Amino acid sequence: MDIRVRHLAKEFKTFRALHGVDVDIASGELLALLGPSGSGKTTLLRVIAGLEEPTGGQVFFGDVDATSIPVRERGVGFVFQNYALFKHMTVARNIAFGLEARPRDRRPSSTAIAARVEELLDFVQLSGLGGRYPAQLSGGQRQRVALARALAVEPKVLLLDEPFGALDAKVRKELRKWLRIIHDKTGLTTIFVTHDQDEALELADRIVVLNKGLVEQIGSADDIYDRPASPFVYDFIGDAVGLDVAVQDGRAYVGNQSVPLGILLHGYGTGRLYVRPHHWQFSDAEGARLVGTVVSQRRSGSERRAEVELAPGVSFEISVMPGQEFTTGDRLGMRPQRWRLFTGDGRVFDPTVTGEPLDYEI
Amino acid sequence: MADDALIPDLHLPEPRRLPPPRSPAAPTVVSEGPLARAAIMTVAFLFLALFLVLPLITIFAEAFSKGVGAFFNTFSDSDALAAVKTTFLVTAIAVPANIVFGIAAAWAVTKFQFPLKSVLLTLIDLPFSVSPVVAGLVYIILFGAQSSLGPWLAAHGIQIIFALPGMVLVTIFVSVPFVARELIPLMQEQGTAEEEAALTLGASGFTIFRRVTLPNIKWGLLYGVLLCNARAMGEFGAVSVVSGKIRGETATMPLQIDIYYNEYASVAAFSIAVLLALSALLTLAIKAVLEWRFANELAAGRRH
Repeated sequence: MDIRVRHLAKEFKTFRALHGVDVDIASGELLALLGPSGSGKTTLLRVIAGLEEPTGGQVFFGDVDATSIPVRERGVGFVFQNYALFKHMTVARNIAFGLEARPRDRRPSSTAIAARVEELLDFVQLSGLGGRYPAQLSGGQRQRVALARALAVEPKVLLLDEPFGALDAKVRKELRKWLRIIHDKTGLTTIFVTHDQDEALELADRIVVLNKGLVEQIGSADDIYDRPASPFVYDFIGDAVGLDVAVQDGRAYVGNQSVPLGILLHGYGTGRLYVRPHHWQFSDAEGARLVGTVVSQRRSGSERRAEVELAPGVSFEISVMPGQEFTTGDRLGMRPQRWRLFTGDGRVFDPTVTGEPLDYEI
Repeated sequence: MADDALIPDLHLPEPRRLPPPRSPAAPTVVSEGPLARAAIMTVAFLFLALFLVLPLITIFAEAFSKGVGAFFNTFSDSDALAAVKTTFLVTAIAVPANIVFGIAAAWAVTKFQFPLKSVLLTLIDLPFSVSPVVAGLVYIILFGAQSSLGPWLAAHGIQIIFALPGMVLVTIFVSVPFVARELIPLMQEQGTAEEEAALTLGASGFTIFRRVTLPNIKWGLLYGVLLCNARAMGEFGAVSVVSGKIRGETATMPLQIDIYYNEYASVAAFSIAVLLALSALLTLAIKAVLEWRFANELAAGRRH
């Protein structure tokens, strides 16, 4: 089942959660909605599910306009953030709920329901735990009960709201792989919401980056990480520092220093130059580098970083390779190897731009 | 779906068997010396004995002061039996009405957003702040013979004041907050996630209520119903105003006690009081059992 979201808008009483969102989701795709809190990602998911009514736009399931189809007839499997398991029912009753709630003419026999429950328990690796209550399960197990319950009604689409949000780091990673496997086995179109970029980059076929109710970028993990479409995506995905620069004839000016960008840009303008910490290259070439002072060093996971100050108030982080040793106060010369330049009028330049000289007049 | 070889081994720990929920023990930070503690406790217990236990004992002592025979003799009086019957009838109508209203109000307040929500919340508490006598008078002004509705009601042979309908109305009025007040915080705490989950699973509104909402609120509901019931049975002021205290017809148990007492039939008065006191004690016992057994589910509603 492919899903098309068209000009979707949702206004709550006091704020606008979605401002005209367009997304195409291919049948069988695993899509992540990624954004900070307040970006509208959960609202988008809930509108697709039918739990919220949009104030504008449409949602198509295949060729059918699903916008006015009520939730209970929309055929979505929804896994809630805190699982929303029925506390007073056993795991088996939870999973059977959707089948038992069907009108009599479409309801399977009780033996068929019991068989389906067993099958699903097996599928989510919880065989033998059907008699437990949700309170007697670990977080990861509850998560899998919620998934089995959603799958029991044979949904056309699987929607997950922060599926791993409430779990500790180790369980998260295990369940991540497992969700990918579940998705590949069921072949369902699956959309999940997350604020964790690692989760989105590792798991999803494509990622929709949302900010303040607008789509910033849609693309594969590589698109999003290597070719961020906006300063927001650069800031949000991975680490990067944006430097306010003036550009003249292919050179970027920061403070009283300048460095060649390596592409042909004619004219003069200003913009914001984004460089990731590991995309700085050390350079001794006079006139083709920025010189800064190491002001501090820190460790970030497996990586070491040094904070380099170009001028008072202008600083950025660089990655320090194994074997390189700096002390605070060292003077370093470097130039950006990979970068993206965002202009005030919304244009983007990067080192892959080749061919004709580009007009950079702003 | 049968191919399990793809699923990595997750090394799931065996889930712990959780002990049944109990309320946590009260913190035992004591700053007073033993003497002060003893004094405070003595004051508390003396107060309880003087103001609660002593009157309770007096009721039983007075009722049985002329022997067990005299106690049972009271209930051979048709007026006394009529009063018992009237009380149960009024309660049997008022309490279910308030269950329906209480659930509807709690549902509306906790599951929907609508204007004037805070007004509804305040209005639910109104009967707590209005004197029952005033409530009774309001109903007389609304439905009595002198009211604008009065002639119309009389022409159609409907009697509300000095009859059962009026007594039921005021009883509903004075006992209306109990169920709703018990359910609103409970349902607020539970939120709408489980209902939404049931909705995505295709359940109808009624199925969701019966299989998801009701099981989640049943103990809170029962607790509210007990309180509502106790208030409905014991109401004096409002019922006294609208009933007209017609012996054998519109007298409830509290009213009949008053009638007997004014006629110096103190054994009869206290015999009925014993009945009321017993029902109150029974309510307390059930309440205590519920609180002990379902402390966690009730905790959200602990505001009284």
